[in-house]
Amino acid sequence: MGSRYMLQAWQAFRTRAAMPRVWRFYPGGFEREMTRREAALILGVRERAAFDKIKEAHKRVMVANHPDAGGSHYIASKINEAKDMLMGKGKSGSMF
Amino acid sequence: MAGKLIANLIVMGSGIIGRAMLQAYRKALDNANKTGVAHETINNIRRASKTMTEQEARQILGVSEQSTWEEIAQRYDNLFERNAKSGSFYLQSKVHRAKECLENVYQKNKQDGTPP
Repeated sequence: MGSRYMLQAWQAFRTRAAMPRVWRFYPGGFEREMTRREAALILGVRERAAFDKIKEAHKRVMVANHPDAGGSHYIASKINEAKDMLMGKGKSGSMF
Repeated sequence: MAGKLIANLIVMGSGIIGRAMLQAYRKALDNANKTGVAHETINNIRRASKTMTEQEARQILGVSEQSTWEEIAQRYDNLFERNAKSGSFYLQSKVHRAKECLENVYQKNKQDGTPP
């Protein structure tokens, strides 16, 4: 009897957790000097992601924030900076 | 006998070294305070990490000083939705924080009665 209740509760929990409701937005503005961590967060990839993942993420995020489509040049430059940082460092890392 | 002596020496030695390090640390702090460099960096770090400046908020949303609140709200909605769909959560947060910051600014201006 208890296990049936647990099963029901588990099912309810799984179906309810589809949209995350407890998101907390990152505080503050961008960092004064971009770090790899921030670059990875901006693109939504891991810090040591593969090149094609980074390129694909860059394209996707750029489309979402394109200056011609309502985005800002500031964000666009941050996205480009993030990509350069991850690509540059990633390249030297993979060579060794 | 000898063990007790050695133990005493070790305790005293570490005490002396510890005290010396504390003094050196304190003096280094004083020096930094005198030159004023540490204050600036501390303030910069604190300010940069906790709050967003109005100028950065305007840059993020791509609005100017003369923009109206409706324009800002429109750009915010647009950017927020686009980032929610195919951007990153981090960028979405920044857009949100920018709107929050400008909201405060515009509310304050409205209360003061001065046009933004």
